[in-house]
Amino acid sequence: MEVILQNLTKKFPNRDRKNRRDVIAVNDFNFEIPDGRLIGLLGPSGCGKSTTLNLISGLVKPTSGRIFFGKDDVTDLPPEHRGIGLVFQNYALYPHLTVRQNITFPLENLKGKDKLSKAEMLEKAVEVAKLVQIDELMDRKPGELSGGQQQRVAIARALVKRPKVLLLDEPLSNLDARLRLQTREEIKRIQRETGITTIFVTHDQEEAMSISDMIVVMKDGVVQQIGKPQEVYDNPVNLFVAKFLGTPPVNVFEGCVRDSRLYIGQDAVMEIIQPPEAGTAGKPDGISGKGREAAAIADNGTGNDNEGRLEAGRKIADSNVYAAIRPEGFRLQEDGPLCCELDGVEVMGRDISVVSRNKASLNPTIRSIIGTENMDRIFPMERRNAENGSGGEAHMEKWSSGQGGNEEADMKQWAPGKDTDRENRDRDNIVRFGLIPRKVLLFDRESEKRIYFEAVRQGG
Amino acid sequence: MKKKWNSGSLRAWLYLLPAILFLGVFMVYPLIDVFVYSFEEGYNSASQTYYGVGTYNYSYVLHDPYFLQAVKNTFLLVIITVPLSTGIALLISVGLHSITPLRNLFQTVYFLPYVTNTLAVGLVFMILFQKTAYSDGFVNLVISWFGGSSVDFIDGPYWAKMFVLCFYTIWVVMPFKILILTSALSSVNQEYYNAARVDGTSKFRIFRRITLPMISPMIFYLVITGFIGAFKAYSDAVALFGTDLNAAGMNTIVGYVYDMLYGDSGGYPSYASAAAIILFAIVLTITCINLLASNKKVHY
Repeated sequence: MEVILQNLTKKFPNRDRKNRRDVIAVNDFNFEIPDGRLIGLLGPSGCGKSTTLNLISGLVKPTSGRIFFGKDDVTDLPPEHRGIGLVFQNYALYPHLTVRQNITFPLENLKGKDKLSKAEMLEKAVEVAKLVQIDELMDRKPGELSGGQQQRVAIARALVKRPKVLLLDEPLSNLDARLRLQTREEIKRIQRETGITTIFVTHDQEEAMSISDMIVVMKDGVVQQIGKPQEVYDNPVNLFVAKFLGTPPVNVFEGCVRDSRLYIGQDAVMEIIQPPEAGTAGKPDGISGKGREAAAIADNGTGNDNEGRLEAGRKIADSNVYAAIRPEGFRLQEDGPLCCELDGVEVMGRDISVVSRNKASLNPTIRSIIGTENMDRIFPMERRNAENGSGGEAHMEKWSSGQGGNEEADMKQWAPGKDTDRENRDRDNIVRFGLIPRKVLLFDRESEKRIYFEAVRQGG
Repeated sequence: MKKKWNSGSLRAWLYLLPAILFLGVFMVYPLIDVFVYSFEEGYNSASQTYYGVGTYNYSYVLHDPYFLQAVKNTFLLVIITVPLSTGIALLISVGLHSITPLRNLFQTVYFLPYVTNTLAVGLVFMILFQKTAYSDGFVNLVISWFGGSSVDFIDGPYWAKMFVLCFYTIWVVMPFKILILTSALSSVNQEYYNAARVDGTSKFRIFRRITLPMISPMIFYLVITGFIGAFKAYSDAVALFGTDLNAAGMNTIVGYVYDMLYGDSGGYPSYASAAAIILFAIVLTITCINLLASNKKVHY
């Protein structure tokens, strides 16, 4: 069953006596959820994602806008007539009933011609319990189950009436890390096996990215972007979406564009021009949520087209920007344009994470993920740092001295020279990165909107 | 091992000492003492003497018609008021819980009797129910409107007096029960109701299958304390019928104990002790039965 949300808005009266303005929990939400998909509603807490879910469930009435399930307008229908299954964040399993009683509870409410016999109810309960693999636990009380098992019971209870739409509110937030991984695959499997349109709410971007067919990123009640997880990750429409998606988070630098060059701090890291057809697709107007969303959808896939033809006149206007670089967008490169102070290296097994600092960075540290094949190149530096005494102090010193010219000199060299001790130390701390243009995202400093660009191919 | 006991347990006992001392002096010792008195025949508290030891006190009390009347009154009071007051309190609490406007006002109104003095309320009840030479009282007025014949509720037939006592007791204990139940109701997680709503559960079924089991521990608490409270009823009867309860035939067990100690016919601490121990045994038995029953009915 597809779910269509039209201009869905929910305002709550403000409790604050001094501030009488309504709190807009959901602002003009438009979305057509295709049949049989798994949709992740994603956003920081308080962004209105749970309210959206409750609007779809019917527990909360919208201030304006309509909700359709297929062709039926369900806006004014109470929850029990919408044919939904809802899994609550804390599961809301009735603690005094056994698992079996919990699962059959919704069936016992059926009246008239839908009324089932006891045997039929039990049969259905067993069937759905098998689907979520809890058929062994039917006689236990919820209190005797682990978190993951409770979660499955909650899903079974939501599924037993064969709902048209399954809604999950923060389904994994009460589980430990390992169980979370397992359960999210389980949710995906159940969704695929039943083919029920499923919408789930989460604040965990990793969770949303990993199992959703599509994700909806929200902030302050406004939809920021809708799309396939990879598309949204690769092509965020604004700085918020870029920052919200990805672990480790994207590294944001203050930068500027001068003469078609992107500068981060003092370093000119890239030559950039406007992408083809930038005028139409590339600039999200983003005044209304609707416009923003339209732009986001229209934009998917085009912004990243790096097979650009160089054309004169596609110059990007000089401006102050935020440059957001994904952790995987860094390459260790001896003559790389971006120059940072090395802070440390974290080994994560599959790859290593280089922690460094740059004055232009908005994050306190820059985290870049590089393959383990670079171990040999980064580790000698690390070791030398350790030998040179506490790294932290050295940084503080450097931060306070803050001489641009000195840095410039440092950049020319990668290997330590034979100068004085202090210079030696400074030089050892320097790590140079080349950037992968695809992983560099530019945003306007004022509006935080995406600036689409194309990198001019050059040596670096 | 010994050292461990010294360092750990000794300190623990030391910390517990003040509480144990107070409980011992003011709770355990009197209890034991009452138990001892109840077997000492003809104990005189002034001279601290008694004739002998035996069960005569019990046999006297159990054969005393006043005591039997008191037991009958107390049991009637318990059996009528505890279920009724709890049931009505539950109804009112559920009603209060389901309305939003004026809820606080009603809550206050329902709680007012709790802060009102028992004797003052008893006086008001007396005025409402009593039939004097000058007036029939308000309740009789109402009865006569509906064509009934007037009854003297205070000095009249036994059932009328019992009715007033029960009515009064229910009225007095209700506020506390409402307070407890409304807070129990509001502590039930709203998610359970939402979950039930999504499943299309009818209001009555939600109440029976979800609300009631969820607040069952609190209901159980109210029933137990209600039983104990009703068994220990005394001041209510005094407020309505005056201090000579035996004459009015409305004495309670505690009233009997009091009369045996200090009343006009008082001065028999042995009999009083025996009656008190009997009351203790009754309350203990009932509470144990309650506990056993609750293990099956009260959830989690």
